[in-house]
Amino acid sequence: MDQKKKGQPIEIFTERCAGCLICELRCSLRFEKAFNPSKARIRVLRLVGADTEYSVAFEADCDNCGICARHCPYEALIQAKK
Amino acid sequence: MNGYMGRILYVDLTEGRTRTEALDPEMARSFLGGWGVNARLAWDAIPPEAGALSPENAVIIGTGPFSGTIVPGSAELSITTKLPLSGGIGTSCGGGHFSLMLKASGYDHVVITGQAAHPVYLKIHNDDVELLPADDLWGRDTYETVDALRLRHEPCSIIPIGPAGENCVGVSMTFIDKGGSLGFGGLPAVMGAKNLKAVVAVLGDRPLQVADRRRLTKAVDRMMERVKSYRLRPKLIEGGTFAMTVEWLSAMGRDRASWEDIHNAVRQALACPSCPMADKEVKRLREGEFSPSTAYMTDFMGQDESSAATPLDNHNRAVNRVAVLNRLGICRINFTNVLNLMVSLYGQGILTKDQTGGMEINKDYDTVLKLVEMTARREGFGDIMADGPLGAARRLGPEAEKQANHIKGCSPFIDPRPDSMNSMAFAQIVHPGRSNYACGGIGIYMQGRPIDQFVHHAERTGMSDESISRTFTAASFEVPWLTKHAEDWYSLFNSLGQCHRLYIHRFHSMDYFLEFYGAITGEEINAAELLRRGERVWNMQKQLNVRLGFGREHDAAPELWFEPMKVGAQELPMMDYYKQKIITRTDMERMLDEYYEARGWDRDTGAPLPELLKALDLDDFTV
Repeated sequence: MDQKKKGQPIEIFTERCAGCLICELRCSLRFEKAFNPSKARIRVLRLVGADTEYSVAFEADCDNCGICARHCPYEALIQAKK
Repeated sequence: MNGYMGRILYVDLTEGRTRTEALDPEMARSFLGGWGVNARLAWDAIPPEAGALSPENAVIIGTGPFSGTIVPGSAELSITTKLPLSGGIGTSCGGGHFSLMLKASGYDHVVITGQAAHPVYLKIHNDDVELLPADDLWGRDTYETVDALRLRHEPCSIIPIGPAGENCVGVSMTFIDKGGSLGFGGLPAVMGAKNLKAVVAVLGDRPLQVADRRRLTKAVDRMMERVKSYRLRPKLIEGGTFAMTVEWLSAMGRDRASWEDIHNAVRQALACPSCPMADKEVKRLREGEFSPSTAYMTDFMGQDESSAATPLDNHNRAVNRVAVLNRLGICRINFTNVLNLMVSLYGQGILTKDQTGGMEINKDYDTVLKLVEMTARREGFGDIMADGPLGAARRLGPEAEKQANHIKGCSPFIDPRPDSMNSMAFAQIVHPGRSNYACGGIGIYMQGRPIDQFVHHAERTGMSDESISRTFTAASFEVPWLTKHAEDWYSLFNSLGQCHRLYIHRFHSMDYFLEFYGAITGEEINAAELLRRGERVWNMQKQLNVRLGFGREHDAAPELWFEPMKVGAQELPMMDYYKQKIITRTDMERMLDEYYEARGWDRDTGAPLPELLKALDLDDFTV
């Protein structure tokens, strides 16, 4: 079952993603109180056979808190305003 | 253990065995991590008598307490080994995702010894640590190796070697995840001699705890506000280091402005974990010569003729040359140095076609690429060039050796004659175990800056009032004293796991380091103590090399620096920073005396004095 959403949807602009993983690090720190990208509710994965093209997706338990979008330095994640 | 994973992985390639040991908290505290703990581990792991290419040599990989966190630019990985070009123990540092991935699998350091019976790669994924066959990867270039291993192990990070490493080429280099250059002095050759094709860190599930999450995020947020408001950041992200140097290059008469459109059109910004600057890049050549192809660039200088083997007026050719070097795993700096010597010797008739196998040695584009390939494979004359600035010259006889441009067998990065004897040029000479300019300061130190900017930077980086008054006058500064401070500051970066590149370095300061360090580890220390630990790391690295027999005589500037450089009709002698005075041999000896005094090292031997080792709690590491 999907996590109850706290905030507005987050739009993904993968072409702006530079692969810094700050979104995953911030997310894991918020949810798990520790750093580890594998514990994040957002997943940035390199496309098979690609160098710098990524798929960015949210896990079912993402609650749209927006911490990833607030801290993305490349504007690859933008949360809609209320 | 906040900030650390608390484990060291030991791998014996000969026996095919692995084991883990706890990271001693006291060792972590006193040597910080990364380069520092690597140096401490190297004291036990690399026997002084071990040859660089022998099974007894160790490859020591290290992350720092900042690695794997959100501290901006905290992706620096350090690798320490005995290097074939110098015979000294040196450390290389590079970016990429490896430090993040390794810590996520639960390790701070990896110590690899022995020699595998056949090609292998090391895969690390939590407690699943395996040596896997790499026969099918042997012979593949660095990009192909990364691509193949990504298909097997994503999400992961990879330290590969190319054909140059496999063939134990001294002028070799590797590239973490294709983009994080490291290995100056021949680290890939050490891996090749061990039959170790790659090290793969797979994203594990181990949590990295920090002492105070709120304090860390608050400090990072504060720095990120500064980063985001940096007026040149949009230009940097769009154009990379090229955008920051194009005007300067044009002013120097090199027509690079004409490249801007094509450069920006084929460029995609590439960031290491936690980095908001993304000044590395991937270039995709979609049309013209060498297209289609993809090339990773760590900076623009590799594409520029000032650091090139041959002048280039064609963008695609410039990019392709870097890609060929990187794929084969050849070090651009060391290779270019050897090539320059060979072209000169050939022109003088000291090197003849009898020795080159009938080849003409010149800087034509095709000739250079052919020589790169021959060097990487040790084919024909390339076997000689593979041995580096000093090694190659020695094989060609005493006259060639006399003309070799080297420091401890490695190429200098900076020739001070077109610029000046600044702290970065000087740092190359005194660096333990290899040559290295980056520890002597940041790029802005090279361009004749006014003295108040130096003082401001010294204050930001924690230099004490006493050191400031000893280093600076109203009109000038003592290069050896500034070098000492810059080195201690630099060793903090690499020990904490922090990137030292100019465009991220500019935001860091001692105050930020103390805040990040306190928030991550929970240990509260002041600037003097943190700098003291940087100094301890530096002296540990020094003692490793003193034990190998390195002394004052090895801290020598290349002979040719004392002759003016001829540029067209101009003659450029080596001058002091403000270009008031020519630096003579006597001046250089005086600078060395001053540097040893600043360091607390013996002027005659260049070794740390016993009282310094005691003061730094390094008296267990006397020679």
